[in-house]
Amino acid sequence: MNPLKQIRAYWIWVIFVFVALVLISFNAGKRRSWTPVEQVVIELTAPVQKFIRKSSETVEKAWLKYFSFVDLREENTRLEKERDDLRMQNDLYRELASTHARLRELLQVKESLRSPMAAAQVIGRDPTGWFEAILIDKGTHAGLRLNMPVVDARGVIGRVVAVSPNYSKVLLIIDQNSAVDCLIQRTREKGILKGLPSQRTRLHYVSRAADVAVGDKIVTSGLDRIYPKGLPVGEVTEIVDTPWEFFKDVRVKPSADFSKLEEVLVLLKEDPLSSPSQRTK
Amino acid sequence: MLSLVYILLKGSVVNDLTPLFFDIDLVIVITASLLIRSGSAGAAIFAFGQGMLIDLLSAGFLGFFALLYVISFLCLELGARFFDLASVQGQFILVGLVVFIKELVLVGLLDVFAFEVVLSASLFFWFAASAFFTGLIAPLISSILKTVQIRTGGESKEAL
Repeated sequence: MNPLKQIRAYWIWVIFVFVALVLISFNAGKRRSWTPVEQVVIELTAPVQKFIRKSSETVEKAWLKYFSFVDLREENTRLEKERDDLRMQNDLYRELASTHARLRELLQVKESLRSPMAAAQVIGRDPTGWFEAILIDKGTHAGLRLNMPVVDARGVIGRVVAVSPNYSKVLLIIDQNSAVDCLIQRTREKGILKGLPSQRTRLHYVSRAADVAVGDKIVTSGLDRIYPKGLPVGEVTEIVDTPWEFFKDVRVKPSADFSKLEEVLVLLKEDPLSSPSQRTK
Repeated sequence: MLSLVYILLKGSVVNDLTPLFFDIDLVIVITASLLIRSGSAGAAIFAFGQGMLIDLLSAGFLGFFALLYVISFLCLELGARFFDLASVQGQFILVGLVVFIKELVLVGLLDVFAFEVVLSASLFFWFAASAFFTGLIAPLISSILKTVQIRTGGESKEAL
């Protein structure tokens, strides 16, 4: 390199350092705004800086968006699965709550009746559709015997008509083969409740002079020796009083909902219809 | 086995899903199928056995449905003299007819046993619908059973 040029470069460097030091010395401890020249420079350069900044932001956003889209699909799948799981759990909790409520009602019945009982689950219904019976998951091993009354939280369901070691068949009170000796709770008038087609029942042998009204509660009389006295059976819904008939035609809506039977209680009492010798066996 | 499963399903699911008097009668379909392939004795035993099973599960009198299905078997046996049970049309007509007759006999028997049955147009409509649809599926079930029989027969021969 030429020595003259080297000296010139040296001096330029010294001058700039000196100017910078002077500027620092003059401006140290002072706050001042841009000078007009500085402002022009800023006005010219700032838009470019702004553009660069915006561009870099856009690129950055686009890049992040791309990645978030990739993640979004996975996130969506995960959330959908989570939602399905939660729904299933929710259904399970609802079912448990419903079962809990039913069992609590049954427990109240059990406590109010103060009689040994066995809780059983309904596992099947009469396959023919013409008769009304249910199968329950308790049999002789659980102490069940023939003609034991079966109830639920709402009232009388029926009686046991067949037993095996682990299962039993219950004839429902809405079956036409069934008969329950009953009382009209308000007036103590007697009658026999029998099933009719389509899950309805009729209270037979209620005399024309009997005091019976729509809405009257029907309870068991205990006279048939199968059902304990005072169990709710149903409510009178219709009365037909035909002049040439001996008895009133009293239609009763059963207390129990036979289309929704799930758990029942079997009252563990001796079969009143068996002979004493059979009972001792 | 198919009929047994169907009877158990009827007591738990099917009756809740279908109208009260609508009854696809697989027992009669399988009895007809057995009548073609295994002869009268096998079909009669099957019909009686399935009837007894229904009696055990239902609140009716023991032997009620056994009698009903034996009567149905006799109708099939007699009908087979007039209709070709091996043909699709014959199966459809005869099985449908026997299901309809079975429903009528059922109502008659219930009346004999002092059951109150409300005879209405809708009841006969459901009887006819049951007969029609049972007749309709009869050839299908029959061919499935035939295939199963051939395969299991083949397998047992191979095993021997």
